[in-house]
Amino acid sequence: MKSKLKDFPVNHYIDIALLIFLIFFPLFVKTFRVEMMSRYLCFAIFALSLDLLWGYTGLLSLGHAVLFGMGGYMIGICYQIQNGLPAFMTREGLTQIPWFYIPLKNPIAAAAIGILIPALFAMLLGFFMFSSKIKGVFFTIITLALAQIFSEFIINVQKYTNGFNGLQGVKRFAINGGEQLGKVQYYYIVLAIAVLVFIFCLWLSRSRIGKIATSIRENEARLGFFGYQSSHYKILIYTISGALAGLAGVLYTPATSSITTQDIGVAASTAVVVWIAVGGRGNLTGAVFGALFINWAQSLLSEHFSSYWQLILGGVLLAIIFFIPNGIIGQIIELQRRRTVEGVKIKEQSNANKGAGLWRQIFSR
Amino acid sequence: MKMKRIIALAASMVLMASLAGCGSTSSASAAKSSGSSDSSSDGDPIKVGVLFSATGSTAINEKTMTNACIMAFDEINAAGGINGRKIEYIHEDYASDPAKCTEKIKKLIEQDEVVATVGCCTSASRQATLTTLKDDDSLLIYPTYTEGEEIHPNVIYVGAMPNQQAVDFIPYLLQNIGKKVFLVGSDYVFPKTCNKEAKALIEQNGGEVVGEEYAPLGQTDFSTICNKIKQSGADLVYSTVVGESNVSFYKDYKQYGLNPETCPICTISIEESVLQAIGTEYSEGNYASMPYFSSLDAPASKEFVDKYNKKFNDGTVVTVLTESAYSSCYLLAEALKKVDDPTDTDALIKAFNGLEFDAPQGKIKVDDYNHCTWVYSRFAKIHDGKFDIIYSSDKAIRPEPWPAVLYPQYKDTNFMPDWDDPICYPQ
Amino acid sequence: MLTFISQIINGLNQSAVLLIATLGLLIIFGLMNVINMAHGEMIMVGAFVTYIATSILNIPFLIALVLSFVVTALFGALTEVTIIKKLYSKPTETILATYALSIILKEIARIIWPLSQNVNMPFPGTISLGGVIVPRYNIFVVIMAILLLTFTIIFFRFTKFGKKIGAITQNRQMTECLGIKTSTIDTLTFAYGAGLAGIAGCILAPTTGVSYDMGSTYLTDSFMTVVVGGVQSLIGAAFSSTIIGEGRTVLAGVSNDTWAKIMIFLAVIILIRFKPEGLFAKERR
Repeated sequence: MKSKLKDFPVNHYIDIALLIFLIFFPLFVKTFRVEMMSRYLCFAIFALSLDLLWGYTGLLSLGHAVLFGMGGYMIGICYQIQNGLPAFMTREGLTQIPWFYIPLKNPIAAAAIGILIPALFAMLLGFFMFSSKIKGVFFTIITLALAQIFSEFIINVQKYTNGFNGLQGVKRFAINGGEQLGKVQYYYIVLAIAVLVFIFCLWLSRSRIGKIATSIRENEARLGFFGYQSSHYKILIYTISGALAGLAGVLYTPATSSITTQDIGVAASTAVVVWIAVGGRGNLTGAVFGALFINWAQSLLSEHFSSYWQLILGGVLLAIIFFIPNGIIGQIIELQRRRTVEGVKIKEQSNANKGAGLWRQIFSR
Repeated sequence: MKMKRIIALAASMVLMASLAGCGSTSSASAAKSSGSSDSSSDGDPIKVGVLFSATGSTAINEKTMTNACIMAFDEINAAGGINGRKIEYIHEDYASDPAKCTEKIKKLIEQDEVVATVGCCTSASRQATLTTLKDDDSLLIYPTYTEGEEIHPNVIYVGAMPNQQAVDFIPYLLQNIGKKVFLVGSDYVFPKTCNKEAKALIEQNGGEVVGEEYAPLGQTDFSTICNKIKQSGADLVYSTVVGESNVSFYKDYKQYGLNPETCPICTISIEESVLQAIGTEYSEGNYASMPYFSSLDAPASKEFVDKYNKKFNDGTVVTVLTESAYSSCYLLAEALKKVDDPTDTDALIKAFNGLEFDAPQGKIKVDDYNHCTWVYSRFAKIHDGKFDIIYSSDKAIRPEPWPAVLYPQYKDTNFMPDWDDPICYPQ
Repeated sequence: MLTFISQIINGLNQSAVLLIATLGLLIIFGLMNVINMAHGEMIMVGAFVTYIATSILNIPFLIALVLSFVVTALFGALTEVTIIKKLYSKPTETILATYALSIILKEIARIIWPLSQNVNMPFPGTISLGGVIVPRYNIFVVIMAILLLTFTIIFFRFTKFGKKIGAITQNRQMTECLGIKTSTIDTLTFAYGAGLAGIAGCILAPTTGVSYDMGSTYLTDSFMTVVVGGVQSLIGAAFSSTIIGEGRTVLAGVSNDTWAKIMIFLAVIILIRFKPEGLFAKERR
């Protein structure tokens, strides 16, 4: 029994501990901290979506916030057009809601579109980039440029997006003009969705697709020899990742009640990469932990050192890269692995297999 | 194994930090409902929020605003505070990010229980606070000059509205410089909205708009725009380019052979802080319109600038934003003096109506109805790297959040639609 | 017509600026495979050196140019030895480390100089080329771009040192076996790349002003230029910066700056589909 517990991957202990912590979190704090946590949970979903792409497939995107923003803007626009023509459109001389915004009027439809459009966009972009034998670094740079261009584009089409000022007053899924969800209520919804997304990602990473993704990261050329069309899998993963990023955006906008170009540009895209790096990539827990940890650290640091906190954060980041290169969770997993490799005898090895088998039964087919 | 300890430490840190930072009370309801009776007892400080970026791209403007607030509240406390109670100000940094601004205003209101907040620089950040202000029933004093066409019941706008910068300025320009105007702005809401009013005013005064161009925010190459200006044969350029882009704009302007002597740049969005980065040679001969310039030759202004420079020697300079943030704090203090219970937001907002203050720019007054402020109209010709003030209105001018020239329908209703009209503010 | 010609000539200036900003990145990224997120901040360092030299110490601009190269190169060497050297085998870690470095540099600059600062125009005035007015400084920028490009090409093609670098990028282990100290060469190459970024900062300083925030604008543009031109190709960078600079200026002439950027970006995406290694890709192993 003891060895079975020992074999249970340590990061799943952390997952469960984190989940319990998150479930009871609202009981101990003020409402606005709960709201903050809902935001950060959306960031955690966002980080999970990038972890699929970067941690498992090895494709680092520095423009992932574009997909996040597409989702966010859909729901933002939805609430802008609830009471007829919004002020920013009247101001620009529009007399009626543009036809392409009409389907967004229903929040549920807007949410669906907010997941669909980033997925389609990722698919299209993936088709252009992965079909040719583009190197990983190029993908990173192209997405970096994409982030820059996309936020400039949103600012430029001010008539439709309110430009730099962004979209405000987004309700927490008030349907048909009814009451919006309560702040704590919304927190639990976001938490539930985050858990579902986590389980989905876990399932995906253990499925055949996930295994192929990992082999793309490890050795793409060899995968080709086995007759796999690696570009197809890359496009598929990018599309899924896009959909999840869109979902994160859809949940995020009501949580902050606004979305602006600051949430979709280069800075936001780089931030998510940093979260995953700090948490540790390629094990999902790291993405969630990193997103929550860094965001809380930012908030609390900035409350106490208002003009030096970014400097401190930069220093901490540098220290983590040097001393814990696998990220915090990655390092914990590594330690456990090392210990089992060193200490566990062959006798216990068979037990371990059983334990792993149990685990596999739960989370994969 | 050492590593393990570090990790354990880090992991426990996040849990501890989040719990400790969140405060230990479990009273989830907003601060407003409880504690109002005992908080009005003498001696307790009145808490006020100061919400300006200390980091990020707009910190370049906001650092001086934070300084101004610190200076104002220190002075107010030194002079005895509010009816015997001191003001305790809490500064939060929102890192030039509107989403963070929402988070911080919530923190100020719900955790620190501030009675009001002086803060925000960009319209994006102000709008990000609106939902919270309404939900939590709190007050924001917004000091930056702004584009108008928004009045929120929980915001007092102390900065200039576009009409206050334009109604005297544009006729002057058309009479004294020329009739053909080229509009240049940064590509976002403030310039486009201001230019809409400017266009109407130019046409009303017999001028002609010969071109309109917008550069992306942070643009550093204005060669194309300069070419278009040259081609249009304009007599003057009316500029709403904001922030650091101005440096490139003014420099490129002269570099590409346009001459401020014959075709000056006339701007409503430049501050002393940017002026020093442009350099005397390239700013010479251009015009600017603002309610306040730090070169204003009045005792109150000189004293203000001296005090500021003595107190803060950190590389910042006094600008219209400094003055406005300073006045905002004093207006808030005056309003607080008028109410019995500072936590009563409705009474506090009412106390602002018609409130007057002898600001460094002169006597300013919060409008009796529309929450905007009567400020002066001044314009200056830039000479030797300084604003030489060439016109100053006799008294403060009436603010028109919905300028009469564009919205004659609001002329009789204090230049604004009804409070519950959805057009009034983003709901 | 005259406007069109003057747009083309202005485009040349933008191309030159882009090329100068890109050269340093091309060396650090192309030759050393380091995605340097702090490139923009290295430009900023060069610009602040120029500001200190010209505006505070009253040193002539051309000497400040050399100074900004030297100081930024020294800074680059320091960065390489303390940070980058330990991360060569891990590309993503270098991205993060240089990003952290960029935050730190930006914050330090902000704390010292909260406002943007002026650097006087060293060559003011204009000259007229057949009716087209061209600023003198633009001519200086274009000449500088050509000089830097030529010098860098000569440096890498014809000097012993340059050839060693070439050898290292081709096959590091083999070069080490031949008794060449790759580690020193890495440091010097990085320092040279950083120094070029410093020069870029110096050249930009008189037209844009110097502020803590100035670097970020150039980061994405420089990376795009490298991608289009093909990593490792100096001639490619020259061509791509010309195409992008001219394309932007001419398109901005007919529409506006934002749309010009968007259209160029779309063109790049389509280009990548068919020429994934860039226009002037060298055959790699």
